[in-house]
Amino acid sequence: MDEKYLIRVENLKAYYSTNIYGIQSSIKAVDGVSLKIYENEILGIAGESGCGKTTLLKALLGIIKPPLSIFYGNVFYRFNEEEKDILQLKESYIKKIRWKLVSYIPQGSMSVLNPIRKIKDTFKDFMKTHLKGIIEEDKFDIIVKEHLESLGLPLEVLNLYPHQLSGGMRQRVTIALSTLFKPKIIFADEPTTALDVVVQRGVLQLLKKIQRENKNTIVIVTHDMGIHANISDRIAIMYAGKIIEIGEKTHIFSNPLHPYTKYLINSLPKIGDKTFKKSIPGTPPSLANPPLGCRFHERCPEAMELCKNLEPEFVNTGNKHEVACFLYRGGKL
Amino acid sequence: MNDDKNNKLLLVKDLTKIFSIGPVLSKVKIFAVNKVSFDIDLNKPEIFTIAGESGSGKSTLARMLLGLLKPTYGTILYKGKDITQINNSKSWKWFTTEVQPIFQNPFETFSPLNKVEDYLYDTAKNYNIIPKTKDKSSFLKEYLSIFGLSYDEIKGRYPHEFSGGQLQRLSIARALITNPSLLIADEPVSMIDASLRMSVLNLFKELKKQFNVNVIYITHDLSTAYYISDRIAIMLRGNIVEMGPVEKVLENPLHPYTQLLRKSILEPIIEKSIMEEEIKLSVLEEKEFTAIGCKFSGRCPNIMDICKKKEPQEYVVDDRIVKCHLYADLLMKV
Repeated sequence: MDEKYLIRVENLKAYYSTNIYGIQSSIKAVDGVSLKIYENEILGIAGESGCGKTTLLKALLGIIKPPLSIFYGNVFYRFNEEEKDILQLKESYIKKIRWKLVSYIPQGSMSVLNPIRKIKDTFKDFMKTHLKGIIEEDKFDIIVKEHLESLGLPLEVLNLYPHQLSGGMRQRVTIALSTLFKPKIIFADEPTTALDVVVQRGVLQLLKKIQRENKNTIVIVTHDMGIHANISDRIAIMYAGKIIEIGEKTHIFSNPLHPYTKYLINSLPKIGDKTFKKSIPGTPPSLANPPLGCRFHERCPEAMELCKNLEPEFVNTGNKHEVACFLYRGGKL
Repeated sequence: MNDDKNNKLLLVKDLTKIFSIGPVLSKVKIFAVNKVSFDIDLNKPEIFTIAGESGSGKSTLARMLLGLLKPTYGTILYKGKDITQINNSKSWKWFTTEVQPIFQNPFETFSPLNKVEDYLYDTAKNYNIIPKTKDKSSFLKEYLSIFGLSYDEIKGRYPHEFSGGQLQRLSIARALITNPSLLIADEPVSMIDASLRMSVLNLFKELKKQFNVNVIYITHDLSTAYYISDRIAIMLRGNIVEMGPVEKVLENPLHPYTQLLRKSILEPIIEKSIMEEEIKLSVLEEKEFTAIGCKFSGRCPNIMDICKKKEPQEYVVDDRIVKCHLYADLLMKV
């Protein structure tokens, strides 16, 4: 992996703010995230529900709609050596690059496909909207067929309606749709959560195949560490609105540094291992009113006095493995 | 047979549920649960897992075991009594004290308008569990301490003020108020965060050890099934295709479907990356339900001629029951 990054996030703070009867409150869903996403990699973002991973994804895609607002920070896209702040760009420009350069695979594929149109018509509609004037319409059929064939999907699905497909096939058709224009970067939000184990494997296989062939970047958000272990190259661990550890998959799994990551990795049940697994004491903090200092200190077995008041910064422990914890700063700032 | 009845906590035999779907004149019969038989011993508490993908009929089976759904045919004997034939409220009350459910979403288990403590107290009152000498707070204090929960923590609080893991442990505590012998838990941890999931699973283990509670754990997640259960039954389109001790079934699966499941589990082990070998997915689900013969025949890598014509029998191989034609010859030889 070289230093060629596609996306650079600088100290991003995205809050949900509400104003009910004059009472202002904000949920700090993403609170100070900095991150670089490189070319030709699969980056996994892991974390529990409510840790802000979907909000981070929304910000990365530039989908900012009330009550979500960007409080601070930038998200830079870097295409052709030129950096552009997605949060400052006009909607019309974002529309132009969406699907072609930046694409998105949603979670519930059931509600994505138009239920009253055949799959082939959905594909045609999609191409008409985005490729009008660029490619002649009679070539659409060939492009779609070639694309499905390259992904190993049966062509018979084109003549079916969404409800006739099984859940896994529907999700794969959605993936085919979002990768039709060979985007440079694909964001996937829990792409397999509602699917069965066997189907899940099939869908992930497809994602990996796309990445391997097109050498593009995939950002995959999921709480399931099993998925990360199998397809991600790098993993970022989020906790209560912050990234607390980031590194290559092998380092995260074989040598987790942050106490939270340690718990997370060690509490995973595996087949062939019946030893007692402990769960993390306590519960995740509320994002409306996160604790001072390190956000994990209330549940951390190794918490020090320092952790209660000050927020730890990232420490690079070598091998591009970074962790935000005072333990790796020798208990000092 | 009579002897068998008395030694079993639960004896399920040929349990079948048929749903008819489609328009009036061209109804299709779907065997949501097809001739399922299994049993649980009376004096040997165990955690029994029923595992399967969505559409395998595991939740339909759970609802029949809880007496919420009438089977098309087949029997469910609980402590020798056929629960499908219960018709008076006294027997029903006895059955509900003995068997308690735990549902998937703890936020739906509790009414959002009631305090959690009232919920626990009301259950105890409805079943006349509380001794007359005790008031609400002293009863709950004593009761919750058994599960390592503190009354002060839940006092006056509503369901939305708890995390999923806490609430699920409370719903398990609620289910245990009647001192049941059997818990039926339908996907109890699938809605709970990874960091809290183990606390719920460990509670089940603890209950089995300390209070001799049997648990039927219904799940699609084979790794957690391996972690807590003693025996496992794998379901496919209404049929139990393999059943036996969890170590044997998951470490060395015999049925081609179990083998496929085992291969598909994304384990959090980095040395073992999947994706090397392509697997076959079903295109249409309805086709599998209505398939003649083995339901897995459309996707099975070891398919034979007979598989598409005749439904396989159950064969006993290596301590377990396997429903697959592959093992027919093996049995002949023995």
